[in-house]
Amino acid sequence: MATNVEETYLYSSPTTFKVSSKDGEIFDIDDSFINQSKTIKNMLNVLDIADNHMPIPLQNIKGTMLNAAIVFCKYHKNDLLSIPDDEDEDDFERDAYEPRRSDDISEWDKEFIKQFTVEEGTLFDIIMAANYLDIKALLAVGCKTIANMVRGKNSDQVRQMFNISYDPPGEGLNTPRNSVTSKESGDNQLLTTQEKESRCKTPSPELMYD
Amino acid sequence: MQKCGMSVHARKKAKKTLEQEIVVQDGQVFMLPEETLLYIFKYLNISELIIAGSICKAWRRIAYDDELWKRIDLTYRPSSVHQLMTFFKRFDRSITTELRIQGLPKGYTKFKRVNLCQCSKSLCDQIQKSYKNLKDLYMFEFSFRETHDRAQHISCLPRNLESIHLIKCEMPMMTIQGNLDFLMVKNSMDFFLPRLQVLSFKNSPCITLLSVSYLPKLCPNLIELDLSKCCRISSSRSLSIMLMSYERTLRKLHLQQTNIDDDTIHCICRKLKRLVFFDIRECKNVTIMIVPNLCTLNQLQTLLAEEQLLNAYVEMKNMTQDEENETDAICID
Repeated sequence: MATNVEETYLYSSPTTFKVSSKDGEIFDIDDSFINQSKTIKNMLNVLDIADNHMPIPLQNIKGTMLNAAIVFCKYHKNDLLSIPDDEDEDDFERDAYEPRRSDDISEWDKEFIKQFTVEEGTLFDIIMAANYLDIKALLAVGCKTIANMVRGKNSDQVRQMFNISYDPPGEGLNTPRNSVTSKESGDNQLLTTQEKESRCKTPSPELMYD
Repeated sequence: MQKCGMSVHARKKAKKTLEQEIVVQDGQVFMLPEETLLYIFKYLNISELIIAGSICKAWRRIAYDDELWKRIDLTYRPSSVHQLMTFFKRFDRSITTELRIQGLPKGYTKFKRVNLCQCSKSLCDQIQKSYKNLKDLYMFEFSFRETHDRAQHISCLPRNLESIHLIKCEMPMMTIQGNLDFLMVKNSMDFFLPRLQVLSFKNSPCITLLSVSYLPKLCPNLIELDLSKCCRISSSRSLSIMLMSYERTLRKLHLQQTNIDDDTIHCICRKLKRLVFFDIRECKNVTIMIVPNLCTLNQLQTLLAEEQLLNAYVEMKNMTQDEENETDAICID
């Protein structure tokens, strides 16, 4: 590992850094990881870690997940070109409008994500890790997998699958006021009609059509 | 089991307390931040989203987030007008700016022949009521033929619409009286769509010349007009007049697989100088003779045409790039 010290000073292409996970494991990361993880990239820009060569602490991530994320990035290092470098928020806005597909997970990614779907709970861990590290491709694969799990199931099956207790969604919750992103309030008329609806019957989507 | 002996009042009360009760959710899925759940829900279609909204309080709040309802796409399955009406009444959102609906496709079922869904006045009314801020409307496989509630359907739509896409739709045909047209708005109604920028009749073979002649009155500010595969559209004076009336605004024109000919294109090239996009693929009456005219459209960026014509266009365009004067001469013709 001593040789790495010299390499970092060279600052040439296969740059490696060290990161440490929540449970104290230390991993070497290279360009493939740094380029795909916006969080790490920003960290390296802000902190001048190259000098003291201490492992970057990633307190939120378990060693197994960090390892998986590194493997994922190594495999995907070459399709970086196809992912637009969306630095600006406009870009995010735009793809919110595009039809989203979740049936386009590649074979490798499917195999990759399988290791997390078998063991309950770890799928959420890897998504959280992807979210924290801000690795767009990994986050997308994880989220698509969950979306595919929800697809085609009725509400009871979904509750069972994710271990959600029955918790009546209640009234008037689907109003713009309560939404995560919205800042505007108003539309009280809307609220009342929806309240009426939900009062009439517990929301059962099966009744949506006829 | 213990609920058996409850009075109606007690049961209602029990339901209410159940609704107010805070259920501690310890499922692993609740570790995910709300933004991530929102991201996951973006992959669901509307009916899956509604199921997600019925799971629990937290999911309901996210599933009905404005972000997910800006665009309502119901084209993943065909719906009858009745189903659509039910949906619109129940899920009315002022946040929605884009709505896509799919009528039942024409064909046969076990029992009878099915016609396209009628686009009725009540349907349009309901759209207007439920989605006040709608900007883009896509309707696939609807019929605009006369219905018993006889009205100018289009005048019931929200007035602030910016684009209407009527794809594979049926339009009223010419009658002996000649006034059976859904695009014709009576003068007394004083109705027009001032903000409409995009109008598409893609794949609607029934649309006739008569129908399009009302367009300038209905939507005077069109930027894009799509008449692709409207095979009843052919060269005529009224078509040229209609198109030319858009000389100030029109930038994109789709005339793929129509029966227009060189005369129409001549008029277009003379007047519609702002065109940036022009599609004349598979127009069998268009000849290579029209290339010099096409070259006079200075702002044109994309031309879609048959290969031979396109090659001639590119060649001529390259040639005339430095000899602007000559092109003018050809234009005057």
